[in-house]
Amino acid sequence: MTDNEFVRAKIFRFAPDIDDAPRYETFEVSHEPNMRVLDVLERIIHEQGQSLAYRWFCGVKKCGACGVQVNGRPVLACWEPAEPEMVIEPLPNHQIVRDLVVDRQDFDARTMSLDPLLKRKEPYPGFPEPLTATEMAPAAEMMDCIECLLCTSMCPAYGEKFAGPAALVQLAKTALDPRDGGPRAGTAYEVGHIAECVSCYECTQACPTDIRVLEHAIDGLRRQIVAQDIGDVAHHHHVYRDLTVRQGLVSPVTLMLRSKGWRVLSELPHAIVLVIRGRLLLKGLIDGLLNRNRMRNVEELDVIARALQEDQT
Amino acid sequence: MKYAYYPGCSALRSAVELDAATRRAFERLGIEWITLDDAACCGSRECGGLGVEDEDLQLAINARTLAMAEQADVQTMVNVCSTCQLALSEDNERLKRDDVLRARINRALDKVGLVYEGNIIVKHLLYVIIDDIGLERIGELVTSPLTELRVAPFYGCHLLRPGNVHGYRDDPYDPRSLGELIQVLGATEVRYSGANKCCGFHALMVRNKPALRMSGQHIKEAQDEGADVMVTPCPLCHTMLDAYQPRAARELGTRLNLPILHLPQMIGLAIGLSPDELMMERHLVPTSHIGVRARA
Repeated sequence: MTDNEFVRAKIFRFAPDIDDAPRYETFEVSHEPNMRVLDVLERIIHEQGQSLAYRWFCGVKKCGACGVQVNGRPVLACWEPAEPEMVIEPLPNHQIVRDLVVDRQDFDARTMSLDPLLKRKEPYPGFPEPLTATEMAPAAEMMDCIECLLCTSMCPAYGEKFAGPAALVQLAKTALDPRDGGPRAGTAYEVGHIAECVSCYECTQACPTDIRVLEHAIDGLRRQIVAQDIGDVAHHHHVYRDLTVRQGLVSPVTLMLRSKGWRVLSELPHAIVLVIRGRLLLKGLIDGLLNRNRMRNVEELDVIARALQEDQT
Repeated sequence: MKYAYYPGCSALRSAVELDAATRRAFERLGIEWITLDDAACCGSRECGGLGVEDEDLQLAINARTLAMAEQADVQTMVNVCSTCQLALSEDNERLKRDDVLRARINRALDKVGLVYEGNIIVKHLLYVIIDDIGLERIGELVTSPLTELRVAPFYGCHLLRPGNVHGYRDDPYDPRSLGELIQVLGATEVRYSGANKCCGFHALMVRNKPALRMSGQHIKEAQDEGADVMVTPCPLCHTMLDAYQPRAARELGTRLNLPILHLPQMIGLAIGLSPDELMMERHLVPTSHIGVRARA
């Protein structure tokens, strides 16, 4: 027999109530054409009588229950082809309930704290509601979310404060809905701690329903934060745009000084070390603040910005 | 082939050693180039980047950069920053794909006498080295193999994700290109789980703790795996990993001391450039012993 006639799955096992530490157990099942990761798990418990714990419900990429990590990639077990050699683990970033089952309570609690329920700015006009597909398209993309938590499982910023991408997609569902009038930007900033997002694209990469989580959900919320001029995120954006148009190339030091304001004093000890080591040049710093650090032909950027504004009006 | 070299903000305003090392490496590798030194910021990704506040302006500024490359009569623009590579290739594809959008942006560019026709390929230096020059040729050019060095690659985010923007040139979950280059240069690649993870730079200005924690963990893991040095293709990652390394160590309550090289510095050492030529003294974490071992 060749190896390809078998699937070898090394599976994470852990029952926190009775086990001192997690362990891995290897199972072999016979390989079938078009076999999915979920089929492998099913074979293990049905044919080998193992007490392996995992979640699934629909089996067709609709319910979002069967998220696991296979060979280091976040996947839906129901939608992922089985490989001859697999390491199957629970989704990272979550508490383990047992084996491959993770605790979803944190996602539920954070989602509820964001209050992602439609709050109409106008009274319901009755059926059929006059809405076009184009108007609803941004929110409709968020409605493709199956709450599988693959995005949050890969998010390096998800933790004590940052609500994580999955919960923010639920908030974006309402924030991007043209009928909604709720305080979404303020909620994203104050409750969701969106400022901690590092724009790493792990969420977009992981999403099995192809939602552009960072570009459309998180940036969509950021756009509202900037438009409503909320907190240091909006301030940073205003500074960045201003420096780009006035200087062309953005010096990180000038940006930090202007973005952080008086809070930059907390950076002073670090700045002194950088100056001593020649990493930070005082001349560059002063030139940046006095707007002497300008790119050649920088005035073209202002001409372009004005032309775009005129074109819009 | 001739390239349009786009240094971007970091290489011209803070990590000037990256600009110097890139030019020296170009010369030594026989790459012909023109510099786009009056090309503006790509928009970056900080708190979302310029595109969050003014999407059209970012597109138009990047179209201006691409139009300047087109005017220089080259096919390919080369970046030395992963975030520039992402922003410029994403905007480039949008402008190429959407004639109506390109026409609208070109109306603004026309005011400064430019037009972008959509003919430029945007490529990162790493892939110019590997795909255009080729690892075999690079191997032939190595005069000082880095046999004494154990090098940990740090890809960061924006050269890998989202994979579709980059044509899945590298697997976002298991990238290999930088590791292959490290081996061709004679060094030993150190494998560790943080190589394709985030340094946190893009939240640094508004919330620095997550960024310090992330970068510190990757440095520590590479150090624990026995790395002598880390190499990155992105100056923003370099800022987090080098200039903020002492603060990351304090945040984690641990000791970190891992020199971080820019990609062209590592290549430069192997093809016979000196640490002085590569301006390696500008790093916060001392690199002098790396230069000595590389030339051993």
